[in-house]
Amino acid sequence: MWELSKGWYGDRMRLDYVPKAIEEYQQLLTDVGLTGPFWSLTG
Amino acid sequence: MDRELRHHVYATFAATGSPPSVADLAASMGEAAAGAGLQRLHDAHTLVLGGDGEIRMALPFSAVETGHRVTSGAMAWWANCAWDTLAIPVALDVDAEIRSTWMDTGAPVELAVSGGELSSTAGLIHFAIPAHRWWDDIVET
Repeated sequence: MWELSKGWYGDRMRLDYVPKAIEEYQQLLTDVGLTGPFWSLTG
Repeated sequence: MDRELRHHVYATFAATGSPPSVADLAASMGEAAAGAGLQRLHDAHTLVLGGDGEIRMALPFSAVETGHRVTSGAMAWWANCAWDTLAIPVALDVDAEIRSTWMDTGAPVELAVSGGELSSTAGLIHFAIPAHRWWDDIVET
């Protein structure tokens, strides 16, 4: 979760922060091993 | 304008531990602009408004007291959940102490973040709700 937090929240305080595309968030989950239907952001 | 409003909300959380009130925002940017801007940010899942119209969350920050506390020097913030206790030091890029409670034993969680590293990665965070339903009720999540 620590590594996931870096990718998910690392840019949150920036003035130019823009939410990532859902595919990018899904990739962040995949990158830390959170895969399968439970972790699908699109159902 | 929403970009500046969003950033102001986050910067206020960071600096004070709490979000700006709707009244404060209305005083600085006008009532209609504040209300409409906050609603757009809420609809975009950029922040979460409570039933009273005030800012309830700007993930990972919570405007209300929770069981999850992050401190850094003289500053402290409430996190919405266990994950957010990790996310706050990341978002702010600060060293921090994390205080929470292990769900299974009730024992206190005592973690530290220093130099961008977490003191221990042992332990589990429980997610009860599938990811695609997190925003069905983000407060419950």
